Amino acid sequence: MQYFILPWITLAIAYAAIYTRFTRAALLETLGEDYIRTARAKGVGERVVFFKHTLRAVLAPLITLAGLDFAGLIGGAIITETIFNLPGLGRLTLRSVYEFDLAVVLATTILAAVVVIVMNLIVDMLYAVLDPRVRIV
Amino acid sequence: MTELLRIEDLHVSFKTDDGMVRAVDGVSLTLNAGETVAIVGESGSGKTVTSLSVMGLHKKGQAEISGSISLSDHGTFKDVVHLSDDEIRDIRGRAVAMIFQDPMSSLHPYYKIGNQLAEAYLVHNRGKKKEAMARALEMLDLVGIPEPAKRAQEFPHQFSGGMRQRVMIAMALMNSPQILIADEPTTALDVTVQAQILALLSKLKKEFNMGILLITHDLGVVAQVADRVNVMYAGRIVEEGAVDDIFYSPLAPYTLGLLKSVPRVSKNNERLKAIPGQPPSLINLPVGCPFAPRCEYKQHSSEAGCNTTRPALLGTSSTHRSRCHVPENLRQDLFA
Repeated sequence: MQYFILPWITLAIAYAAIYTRFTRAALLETLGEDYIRTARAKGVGERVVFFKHTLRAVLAPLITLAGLDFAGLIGGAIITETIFNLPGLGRLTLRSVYEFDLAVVLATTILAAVVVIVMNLIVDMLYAVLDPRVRIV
Repeated sequence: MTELLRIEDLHVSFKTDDGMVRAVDGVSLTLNAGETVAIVGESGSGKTVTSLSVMGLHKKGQAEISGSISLSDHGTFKDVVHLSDDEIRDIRGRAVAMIFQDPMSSLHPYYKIGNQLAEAYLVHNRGKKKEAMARALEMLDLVGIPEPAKRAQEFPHQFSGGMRQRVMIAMALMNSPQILIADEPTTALDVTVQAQILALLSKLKKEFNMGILLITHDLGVVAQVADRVNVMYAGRIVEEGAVDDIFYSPLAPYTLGLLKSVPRVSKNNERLKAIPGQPPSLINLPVGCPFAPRCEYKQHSSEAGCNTTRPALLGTSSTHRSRCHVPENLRQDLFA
């Protein structure tokens, strides 16, 4: 297990920075929305304002980003797995490219494509769960 | 007449990188049950800041507030300026409620109308869910939303602008507040809907015997619904009086300027008389009268104090007062 720590950190740390900045920006924007002021004007406590009124609105753009990044992780895995000499899908793809193993390259490419499409679908469906404005009545 | 709200010598300033912004500079006003008091002024004159102070909605640490805002919480008076966060939260939405300018963005897009209304009630009456929903439907019906039971299950984006403002009003009424602050309630609406909303507010004012503090820059709205008017300029009240005083015998040069700059349908080919210049920066106010640089009457001031001292809020009548160095009798002749 300890051999996974470094690759994990490598994959995670770049995303962590992006997500921290992104969440911060989205949070600040939402806290300035008129409907947050409305909630405060009703007498709603700060904790409820934050967890009920603010977080749900912040989640929507985050989900979009996370869905796309999850698909992108496969690409990132190619480099990480090669550097850390881990057996995995990424290294398999790379080795097949070197060895002109077209069938495997094709398979992994199609798999990556399917993951991207499926993730997009999931994101779209989650979006509708979160935001009633995008639901099809 | 029962007094509901008394603001005395309110000062609100904000720290910015460029210096202290004195958004509200010594405002005093009162509001009684069953009357509508308007605060009129252009953008940045301090009307909204004044109303947010009453709600205690300024961020602590950002705004420096002094003076007193004595507010009736169903009979007992509380000074909003000196209450703790929890005490203010208890008053908000219950003793005093607020309607905002833009109904399009003031409702939470993710929650059903009924739940948003019920929340306003539940905050002050914990655990009474059934009662809250019943009250929500009752209020929706009261503000003229057809089929309230069905509409309560819908989301804000399924309502038109006028309907959303009605929802906002219903939300404000959930706890039968005595004081209603309406911050430009009709600015974002078209004129026919505007008239409906104003009529609704007047009707509800009578029904609930509320006092309404109406913030607006629209003199037409003021003429229609207000009983008393406070005209604000650069963070201070430059004229206060009954609505007829303000419209038929204005005493402050700024009020006169405002009235002249309203286009009239009857005078079609006359050029609109706008007030020249810009409102002063609230960071560096002129030493004298803040309106002096734009005032066309300052040569009539015998003491010529316009550029050196701030005029006090004075008047021969105790209910109609204004700030100007030009003697009042002379102004009456000049403005006629």
